[in-house]
Amino acid sequence: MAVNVLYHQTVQRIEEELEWIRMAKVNPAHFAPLYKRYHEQIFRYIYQRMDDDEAAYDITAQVFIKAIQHISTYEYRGVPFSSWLYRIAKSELYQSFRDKQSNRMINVDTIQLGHIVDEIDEENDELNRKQLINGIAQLKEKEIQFIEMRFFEKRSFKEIGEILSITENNAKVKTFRVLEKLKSIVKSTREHELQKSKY
Amino acid sequence: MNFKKVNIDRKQITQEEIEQHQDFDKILESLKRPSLTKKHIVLKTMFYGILSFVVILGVNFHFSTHQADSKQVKSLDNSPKKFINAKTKPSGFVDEVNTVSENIEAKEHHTTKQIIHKQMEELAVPEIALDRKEELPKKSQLKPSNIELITEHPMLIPSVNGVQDGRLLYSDFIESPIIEIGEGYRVVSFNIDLQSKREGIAVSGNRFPEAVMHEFSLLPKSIEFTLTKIIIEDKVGTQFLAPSMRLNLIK
Repeated sequence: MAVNVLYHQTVQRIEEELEWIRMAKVNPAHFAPLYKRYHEQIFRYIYQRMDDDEAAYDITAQVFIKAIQHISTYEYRGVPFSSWLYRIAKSELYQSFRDKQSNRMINVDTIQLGHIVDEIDEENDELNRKQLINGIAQLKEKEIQFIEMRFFEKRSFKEIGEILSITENNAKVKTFRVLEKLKSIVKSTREHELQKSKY
Repeated sequence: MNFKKVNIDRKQITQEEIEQHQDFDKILESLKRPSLTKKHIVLKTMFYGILSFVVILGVNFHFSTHQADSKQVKSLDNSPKKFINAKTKPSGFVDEVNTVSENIEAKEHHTTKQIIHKQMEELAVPEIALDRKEELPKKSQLKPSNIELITEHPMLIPSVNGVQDGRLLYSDFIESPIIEIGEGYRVVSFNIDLQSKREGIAVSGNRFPEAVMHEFSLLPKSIEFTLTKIIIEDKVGTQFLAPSMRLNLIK
C-alpha cells in the first residue's frame, strides 16, 4: 500500500522548521510558514474524525492558536514538529467532543476498506466489507486510530509512531494486532450469522 | 463519547477548499484579544479563591473562639504540682461516668461569656461588662483571702497552692480555675452555680475566674456558690462523678 508522501520528513525539512520555530518564539508572526505547511494536514486529521465541516475548521484554527501560544515550550527531541501539532489537535478534538457531547466519527473509505479485507485474508466481497465496518465500530478508540491512520489516512508507520509518540516498530506491531482482532471479530460475526440463518 | 457513528465514503474536501479557509492574520488577531475561555478561567479562579478565603476565615474564627475557651482548662489540666496529698480513694463517687462527661463536653460549645450573657438576658438584669478586664480584680490588688468550704467532703477539697484545712488562698485561686483533689486524681470539669447576694443576679458556668471573680469584685464581703457535676479522673483515666459542693469565697 502506497503511503502519502506529504507526511515524509527529511533532515533538511526538519532543520528548516527548527529555524522557523526559533523565529516564531521571538515573534508569533514568523509562525506563518509553519501554519501554511501544516494547516491542511491538521485539518484533514480533524475532519476525518468528525462530521461537521465548519467545526473542523474552527478546531483547526484553535490548534494553531494554542500552538503559537505555547511555542516557547516546544523543544526538539528527535520528533518532528508535526507530532507536537497532532498532539494538540487530538487534545482539542476530544475537548470538542466532550463540550458538545457529540459523537466521534469514523469516516470509512470503501476502497481502503478493500485493502483491510486483503490484509486480514478475507474475500473482498460486499458481505465481508459490511462485517468489517461493524467490526471497526466495535474496536476501542486506541485501536481505531491505528486502522484510521494506516488505511484511511495512508500514513507510514513512522508517521503513526511520531503522532502517537511510539516507535515505528511498535506502531507496526500494534497495527498488526488490531488487524488480528478485527479478523476475529469478523469471523465470530460471520459464525453467529450462519448459526442464526440455520435456525 | 460514542464511537458508533460510521460515515462511509464521505465527500473529500479539495485542497483548494481548505486553502480558502487558511487565514493566518485571523489567527494572529485572535491571539491579541483575550479569549473567552481565558476570561472564564480568571473568573472561575477568582470565584473559588474568594470562596476558599471566606471558608478559611470562617473556620479560623470558629476555632479561635472555641480554643480561647478551652485553652485555659487545658493549661490548668497539666499542673500536677497543685495536687494535695490524700491517701484514700474518694468515697461517694459514682463510677464510670464517661458518658456524663461527654454530654457536658458537648454542651461546652458555648463560651462562658456567652452562657453568662444568655442567662443575664433571660433574667432581664443589667448586663455586667465581662469583656472589660479592667473591671475584674487584678491579682496585685487582691489581698490573700480564703475560700471557706461549707459542704465538707474528705476527698473533695478545692485546692491550689497553700490549701490547708479546707481553706485555700484566693490569690492563686483566681488564676487556677480548676479544683484538684488527692494525689493521683484530678478534676476534669465542673459546673458553677452562683447565687449572688445581690438581688436578681445569677451566674452559672464552668470556668472560674470570670463568673465568680466578677461577682466577688462587686460584693463587699463574700460570695457563695455551688460546684456541681464535678467529674474526677484517676491515673488510669477512669472518671467519677463527685457530689456537689458549696463554697463560700470570703474577701
